[in-house]
Amino acid sequence: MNIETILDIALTLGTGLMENGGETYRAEDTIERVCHAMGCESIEVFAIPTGVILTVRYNNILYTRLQRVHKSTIDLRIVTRLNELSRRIVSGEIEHDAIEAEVKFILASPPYDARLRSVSAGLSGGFFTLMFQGNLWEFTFSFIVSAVVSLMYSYGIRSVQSGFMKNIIGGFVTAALAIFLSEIVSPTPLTTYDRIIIGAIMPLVPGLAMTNAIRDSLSGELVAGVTKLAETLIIATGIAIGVGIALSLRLNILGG
Amino acid sequence: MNYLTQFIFAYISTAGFAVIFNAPSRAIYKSGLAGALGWLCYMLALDAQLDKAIASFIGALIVGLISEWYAIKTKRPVTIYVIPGIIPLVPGFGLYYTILSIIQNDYPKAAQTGFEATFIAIGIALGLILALQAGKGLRTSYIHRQHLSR
Repeated sequence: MNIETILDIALTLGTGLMENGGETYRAEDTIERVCHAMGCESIEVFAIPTGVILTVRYNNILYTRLQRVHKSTIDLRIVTRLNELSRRIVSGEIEHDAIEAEVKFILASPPYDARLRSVSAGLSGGFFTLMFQGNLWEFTFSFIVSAVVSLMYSYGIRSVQSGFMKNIIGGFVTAALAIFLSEIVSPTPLTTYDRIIIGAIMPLVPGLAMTNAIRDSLSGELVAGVTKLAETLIIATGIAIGVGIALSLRLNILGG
Repeated sequence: MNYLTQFIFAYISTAGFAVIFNAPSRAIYKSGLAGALGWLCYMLALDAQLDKAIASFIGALIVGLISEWYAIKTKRPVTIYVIPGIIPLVPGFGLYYTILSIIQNDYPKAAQTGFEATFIAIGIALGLILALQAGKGLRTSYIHRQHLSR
């Protein structure tokens, strides 16, 4: 097997894991094991959330490759299957020629249907509102807002390239819809937009990224930790700007 | 009764997140269980007058241990159970609220919620690290035992 293919496979596997929610250390570990299984020596991997550098010795020549990581979404099915594949590579259960096609196949596998994800987002948002002592109307509204925002992310704003803009739009739509439903549509004065926003904002906010940032920092992965912390703050800022715009519009249009 | 409803709410929220995160279908109810039990322990700890950060630590520890147990049993990466399971505990709302307070010029509130969110995140991170370390130990002994029984 030639060295280009080996490096391709290892790096696609590693960055594929990181782009879909795998931990940094898991990506490093996977790349190292896969390279080792395919005959490389003195393997050095350096992975941070925005890229991977890999140096290996193969037939006594040193090779180095750099691969950027561009997106950070969460797709746990891809993480599971890449992990399974790397196990099969390490234990030698798979023909080396078949690996490349398999990696491509896994990375191209589609997510759950957008409608199913929308309903799930609605359920999560709605029940979060209930966990924060919301009433039944607030549950219903939170369900609607979460489902609509999820659909919007699946179809509407895919063309928006900047992640920061996406978060501003997400935060704005969530808050604007919550205010509209609770103050204009709602049949009872008991609904407050606060508790609707708490539930519906849950899929957008970067709590997970923040926890992972601290986990990385505490485990000694300082560069990864600081990078993720910056990402966290930027996501939170985007959402808060979006919600802030909606709240100040409410003050101007509906009054206190 | 209150605990039971909280358990059910947390279960559905977590399972919903597992679908959003595209978890394999057989992992969805497992991470739902991890998330709901973690949230239940968090609530119990809060009712025992413990600090929020410590309660989050306990909750995350439970989520991590259950996830590790499933990960060892199914030979799948622990991430796919932990990521949805940890969602109810994670201080995402606090973080967003901090920035919102800054935007609205309410700096004392921003400082308060910001520190709270940070301490909660540290608590969760410690809980997870501890659970995953314990899992590593369990895994080696589990594999060792399988070798012996062969």
